[in-house]
Amino acid sequence: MADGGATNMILLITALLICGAASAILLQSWTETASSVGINQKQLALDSQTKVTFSGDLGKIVCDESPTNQITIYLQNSGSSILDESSVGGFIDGTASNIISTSFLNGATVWSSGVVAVFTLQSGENLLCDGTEEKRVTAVVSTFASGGVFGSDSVTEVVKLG
Amino acid sequence: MGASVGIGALIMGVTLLSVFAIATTVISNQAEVALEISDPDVIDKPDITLSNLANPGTVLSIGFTSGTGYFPGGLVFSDVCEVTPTGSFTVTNEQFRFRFVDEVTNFGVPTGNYNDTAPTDGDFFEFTDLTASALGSEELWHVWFSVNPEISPGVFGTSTDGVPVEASEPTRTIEVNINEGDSAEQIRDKTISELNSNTPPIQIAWSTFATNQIEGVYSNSGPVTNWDSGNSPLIIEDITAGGDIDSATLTGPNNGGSGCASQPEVDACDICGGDLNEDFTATMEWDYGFDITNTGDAPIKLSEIFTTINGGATEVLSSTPALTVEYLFPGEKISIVKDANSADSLSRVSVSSHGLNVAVEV
Repeated sequence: MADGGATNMILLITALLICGAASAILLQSWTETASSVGINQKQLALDSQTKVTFSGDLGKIVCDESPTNQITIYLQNSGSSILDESSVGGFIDGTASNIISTSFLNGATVWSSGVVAVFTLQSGENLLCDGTEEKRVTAVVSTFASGGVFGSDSVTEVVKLG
Repeated sequence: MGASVGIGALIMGVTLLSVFAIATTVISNQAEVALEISDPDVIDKPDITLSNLANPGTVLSIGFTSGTGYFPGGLVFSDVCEVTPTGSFTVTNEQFRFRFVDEVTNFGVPTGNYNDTAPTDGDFFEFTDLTASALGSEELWHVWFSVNPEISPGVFGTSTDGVPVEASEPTRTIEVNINEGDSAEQIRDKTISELNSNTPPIQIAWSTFATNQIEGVYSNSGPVTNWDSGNSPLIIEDITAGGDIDSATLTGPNNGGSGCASQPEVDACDICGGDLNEDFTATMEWDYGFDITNTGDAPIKLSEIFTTINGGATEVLSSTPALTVEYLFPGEKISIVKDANSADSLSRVSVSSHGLNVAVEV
């Protein structure tokens, strides 16, 4: 009887330990899962608030073929998040281009909603700025960090160099 | 034993409740995000139309590159402006210098330029005065010399020279009385004295030049013809032509005009004469105008509309006078006037806003 009581006690304690460990593991995994899902949700939410559009005259992009092969693009913040003008990527026909200058129109100092930023892109290829050459220009923008995530958006348009 | 089972069940129950709470929160957040994604917090592309491009011009200045033989007068502009510009141009004044021949010497002794070779008509020369800066205002004048037959008149009498037959217009004939043997300088001074004392006054400013030359500068501008040294021993030293266009300006009442649809042609007035080689050019400055209509279903913030003129720099929408409203509501149309004063006429207007890019070319 005494042996049976001890055995039962051992089984019960073991069961309690296993139950506690399982609970801890379950809670930890769900917490991690929830955290991961939360980050993704923040990312998705921030992405949904991030939008950039081309402004200016797409049919006559300001272009300087000699000697710098530069074009000037205007990007408008059409989202509700503030964009980071220093983390913009520019691509001309799929090739990354150097952004050599950045400014804002209308006296703005922050790239907030509705504000147009001006970027001068330098192409690695020779440009023909006579109103005949068409280029596919892509811009990738991102917001400032919020809760450890960045919202991002991109826009691609075919423009005519004029 | 029962207590242990109870504790184990409590642990599992609390754990499951916590997991359910976490799961509920995650699901709730996911639903919220799903709603945000399905209705993102971004600005939709507006719907704008661009119409009624206008490009009124004004003449800023008048340039010229040539033109001879003209009298000053008005500029004639072709009829391409709502208010036709008005302007005028000026021309150079003719001026000339002449002298008498070097003194004749007799064995090294100057004897003067003239002697009394009676009976004879006096030596003469002719010049043309301009009574006004206009066509048909020339008058031919005759200057003739009556030469006393001695250096000191009165001993051998006075001149017996007759008025030359060429001086057929008595009212425009000037007699210069000189002495035989006068030097070129003396003849010069006596000639200027007679020219200056003539009544009515001649529209030429006479002055001396060097030791023996007379310079005449016309008071009125324009071309002059019919200089003739006649039978006198005159030598023309220099002539600066009158009638060369030397300035062209816009003048009242309309000055540069307004509402010019194109660059007007500019010519000299019909009564200005000339060699038909003038070349006036109107330098224009242009303003731009166009209408923007909100054809969408949401108000558009005007400060988020941007315009690009002729492919130049993009700038925020503005007008003259300044816009007084902040939004353009559905169905509304605003007329934009850009007081650009640009040297370029309007060829293309582009309007962009939040992904909308519309352009119209002239």
